[in-house]
Amino acid sequence: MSAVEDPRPEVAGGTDGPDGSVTFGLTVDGTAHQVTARWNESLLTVLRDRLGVRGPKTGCAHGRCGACAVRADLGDGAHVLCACLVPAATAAGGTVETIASIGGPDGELSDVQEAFLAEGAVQCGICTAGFVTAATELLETNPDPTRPEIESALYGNLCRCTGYGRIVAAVETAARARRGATR
Amino acid sequence: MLLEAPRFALPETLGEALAMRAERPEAVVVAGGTEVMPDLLWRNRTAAGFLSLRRVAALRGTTTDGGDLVIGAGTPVAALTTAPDGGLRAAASSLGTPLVRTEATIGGNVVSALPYRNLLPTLLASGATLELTSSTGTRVVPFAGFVTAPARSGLREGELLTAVRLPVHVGFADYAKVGRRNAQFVATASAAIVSRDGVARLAFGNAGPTPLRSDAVDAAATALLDGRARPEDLRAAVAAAVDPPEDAVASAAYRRHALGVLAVRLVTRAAVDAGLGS
Amino acid sequence: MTGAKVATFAPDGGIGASVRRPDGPAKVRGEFTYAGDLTAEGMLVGVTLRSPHPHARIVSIDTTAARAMAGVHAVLTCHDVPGDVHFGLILRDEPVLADGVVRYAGEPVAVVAAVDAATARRAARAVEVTYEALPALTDPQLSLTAASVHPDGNVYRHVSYSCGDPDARGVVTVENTYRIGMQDPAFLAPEAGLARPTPDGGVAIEVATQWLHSDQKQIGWATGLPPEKVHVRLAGVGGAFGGREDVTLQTHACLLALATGRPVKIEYTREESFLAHRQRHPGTIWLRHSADADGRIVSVEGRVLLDGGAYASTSPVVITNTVTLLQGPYRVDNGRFEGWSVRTNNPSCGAMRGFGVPQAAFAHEAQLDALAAALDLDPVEVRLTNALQRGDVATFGQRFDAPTPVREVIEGLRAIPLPSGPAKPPGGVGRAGGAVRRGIGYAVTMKNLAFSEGHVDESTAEVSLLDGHATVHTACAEVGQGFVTVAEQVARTVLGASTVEVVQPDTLVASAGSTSASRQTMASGTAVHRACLAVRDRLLARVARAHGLDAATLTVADGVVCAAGRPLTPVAGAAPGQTFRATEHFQHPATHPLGSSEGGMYVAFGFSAQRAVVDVDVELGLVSVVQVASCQDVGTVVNPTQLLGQIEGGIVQGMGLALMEEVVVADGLITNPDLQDYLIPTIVDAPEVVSTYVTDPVPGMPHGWKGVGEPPLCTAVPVVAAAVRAATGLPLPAVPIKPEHIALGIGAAPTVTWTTPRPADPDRPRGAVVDEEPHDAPGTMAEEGAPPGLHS
Repeated sequence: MSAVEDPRPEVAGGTDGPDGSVTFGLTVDGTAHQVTARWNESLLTVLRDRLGVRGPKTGCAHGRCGACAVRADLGDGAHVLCACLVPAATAAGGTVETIASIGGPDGELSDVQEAFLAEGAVQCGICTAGFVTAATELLETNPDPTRPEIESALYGNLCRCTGYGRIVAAVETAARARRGATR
Repeated sequence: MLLEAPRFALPETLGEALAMRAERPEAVVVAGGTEVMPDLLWRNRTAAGFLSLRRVAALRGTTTDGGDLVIGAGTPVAALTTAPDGGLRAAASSLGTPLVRTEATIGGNVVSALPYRNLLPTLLASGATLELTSSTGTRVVPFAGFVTAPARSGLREGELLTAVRLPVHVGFADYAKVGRRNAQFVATASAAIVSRDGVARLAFGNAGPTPLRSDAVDAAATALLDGRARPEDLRAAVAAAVDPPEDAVASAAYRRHALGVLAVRLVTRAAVDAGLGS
Repeated sequence: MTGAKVATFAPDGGIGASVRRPDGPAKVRGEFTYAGDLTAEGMLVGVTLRSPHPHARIVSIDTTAARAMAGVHAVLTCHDVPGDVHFGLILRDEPVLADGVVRYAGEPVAVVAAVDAATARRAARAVEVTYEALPALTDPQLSLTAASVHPDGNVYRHVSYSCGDPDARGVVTVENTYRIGMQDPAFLAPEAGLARPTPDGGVAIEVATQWLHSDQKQIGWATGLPPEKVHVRLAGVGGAFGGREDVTLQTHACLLALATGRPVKIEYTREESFLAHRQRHPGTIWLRHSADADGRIVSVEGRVLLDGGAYASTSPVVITNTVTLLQGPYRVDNGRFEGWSVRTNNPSCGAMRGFGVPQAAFAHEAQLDALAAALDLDPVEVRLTNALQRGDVATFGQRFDAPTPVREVIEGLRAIPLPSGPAKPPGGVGRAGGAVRRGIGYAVTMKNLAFSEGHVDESTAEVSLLDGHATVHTACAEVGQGFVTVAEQVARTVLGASTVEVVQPDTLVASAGSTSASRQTMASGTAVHRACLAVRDRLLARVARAHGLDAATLTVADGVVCAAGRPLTPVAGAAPGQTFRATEHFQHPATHPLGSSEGGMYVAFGFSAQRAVVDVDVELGLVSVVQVASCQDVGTVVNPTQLLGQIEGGIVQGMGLALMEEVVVADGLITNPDLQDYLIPTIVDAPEVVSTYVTDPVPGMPHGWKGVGEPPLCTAVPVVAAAVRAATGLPLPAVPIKPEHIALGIGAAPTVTWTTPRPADPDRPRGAVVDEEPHDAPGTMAEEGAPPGLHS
């Protein structure tokens, strides 16, 4: 790998002329948008730099840290993915839900968000949106996860501050709260 | 065609995709994007446009056809974590991360043609075949030999990989890999086994420039499986057959050693599965 | 556990409670603004052109084509720096933009501001730089004798001192050479900042940083602006761990903003982040311990070589830490200690959590285990035998005159049960299988807290109170560690505030120093405490006048003003509509250089003991860390949940260095500047952590608090290695431990020599004797005392 030449393709801003651009519709957090982006721009870049949706974070731009995790439906069902790995135009006509779609419209916190706060699972917080997104998806599909199942679902999300202990505790607390609430 | 721009095409049908492939040979084919997007940062600086297969529904899904599992090349790896084949399940479950697996495709893994990609040893051990389709028709080739060098394959101009077929065998299949941490790692070395009717076939990842198997290794594995040989014999056969890289991650000596260990462990699992040992 | 207890009540939201962090709700909602989220009307994007060569002469730079491109507003090289081109935290040896020569791969050569990132990058590529590649000095062993690659020479600092009689011997000596790889801070938010010109001809920057005033000063040097015209404001920080202590993009963004008259944002890619920020110093440590039959250390000799890379950063201080802390938390009366941090054309190294001590700890704890093994003693007992106590004197001459609970943290581990139940298999998701051997290891460390050797450690806080709402203003950089919560807790406990706002740190208040060295609770926390006391006293004076009482009889407890202990009025209603303000400064007592007779080098020390349990697949060399038990001396538990988060986070970072983290530099080039190839622990890798504390309040500190952030990392590195050694029987003298080290048995064991006891000559002076003639270009490590294998 070359050491120092900035390797990124032309991304945020500019389109390199009409030849390099693509225009498509995308629904983000319930709002429909018409987006014009470069052909190789990632969904993450479109969200953050073109639509000003900054909940998903840029940690690595190569799909290893999970800070950009969003829930998306590209025509075959919704699932959580790394927005930095999706060529944005492949999401044409699709729907994306970011961290902004988690929790209530008036700022009420979801049970997962509440648990992250209660258990001290947030330090610098740059990984938090991705973790909350992935953990929410886990509990939707597996409401009573064991610790190994929690780890299996979340190892695509890196955290550098917490050492993960409080994050696991938060997911367990949220799961317990959900089970309590549904009883 | 969902979307068409000078440098971006988003077909909906295989026909549209093939037509685009012929029309834009310089476009980079992208499915999930999990390989291609980082590649734009690291290896491929000269990409001129995308041909996305993401929305071609016909390429996604698994069916059976006779004794074969037929997996659309656009099938996400996440779907393969519940595949009927144990090797495919194991390899799919340890590929990338949960976030990557939902978009990574079996086709992307194959066409990357890199020796450390997760699914490739299982395909090699299973004797998988590939359906390669162009606007002029489909040809079926064995996966063995499809990868000719790192990142080089037998995919011809105008062709798309449309399906991967592997025998739905009764027997034991598994995959294991080692790395430098316990989750989310590229295989330092890996191995797959398919065992049926007392015959074992092994294949290895990061054991050389391409996914690797060897008749001599299979003979030793089969002999170990039915108690006619010792683990050291299989390890020796593996050591002789592989030519693993030396790099900052691990030495060739370690890889050679690890490949032999994985081979023995997989054969042991096959034996246990068959009630042949403990 | 031990020592006098501070008041044990934990008022709602006060000191001692697990108060939630005030920025937490914004963070879980994804609404917290990090530096990377900043945007401004009319903003330009700044991009940096970096050297591909580790060492080269710049023959020419032609920016004509770049400047002519549409949408490009500025292209700057060193010739465009209006002020002084040199900056640096300790030595001003580094150019803002390369000045005729580049000394590391990644060194900034030019910066571009353009209407968007694509245009800026295209312009950067259009800058024509002609390099004449020069031989790169990449082996730190050669730095000492090679030609200088910088006018300031190749040695950042040479430290050399002895104490007592270094030639004293016990019945056995053990010696080995230990290697520590280059760890990266790998904070998850790449560098970012937004600068804009101000109407007064100055510049303002919002940036993710650790030290606002240091940035302000260095920007001032380059721009020629006085401090009052350089305004630095903290943007949201996504982790730091030392990696944001040095200036990276700050000056560039400000220069571009001034040159263009527009706001300029710079945001690094992940790869660029690896190249631009400082890593932990990789090092080689030769260490020899001699001990009596009962395990008591008779003498210690050590030599350290740290590769500081191309520019000094904090290398002169890091080497001092490593060398002086080689003794560990043990009583060592006789010793000889020497070390160098040197310049090479490798990436520049600087601060990372632990600051030279993780390297020392890895070596000294391996030595203690080697002594125990040679003498057939229990490794815990050997440590207890040698444990420092209050009143002991360090090898560097300083007396431990504060609580020194080394024995206590070791004993504190005993109560923690070993793990039970199934553990995660080595190899994790790869399902490698295989027989597993369990190993248990121990480690104890000492870490110096706060700045040292005369570097002033201070902070200032402005606090105001209105109707029960307190506002706290410091320049303390919140990087995730939770200072903002501590500040709130102090205001609630001391001032009785009902609500607290910690305003965004900036340079409109005096310096808080760096968020590093485990220092901010002690420094900025104390400044906040003092300011709250001053505000409280002003409030009480007003209340006293209003009620005709003697102010001396008034106190604040649980948010209520009390008269002679009886509730009088809630603080919130005590003086309606009246604002009370105070600004207070705090500074630790002065510290002194090594060898000074005027006083000690260090402000304080933190002690930490850990026990690790690991499972090892020995055949494949795969490790699963099952449990790490920790007992740490913390003075006071300010916020139990936050403290646990700091302990767990530090342990996992130390485990990372022990098992998987290494920036691999080949011929001066970083070969793995991304998160696929530089591996930090995942949630699967993380062990169960059980954390207990020794609370022996620190005299002179409000609430008895002391710093906690670094010790868990310092101890985790050696403890994980010790456990893997126990499981495998292998010496493993290098970290990160690679699977092949275990599977193929790589690594030299310590040399054990049985000796005739030779007691210390009583006429040798106690206290540190500094080598009066430090050698700036001494021989290599292969001098007397260092085994020949050092070069490999």
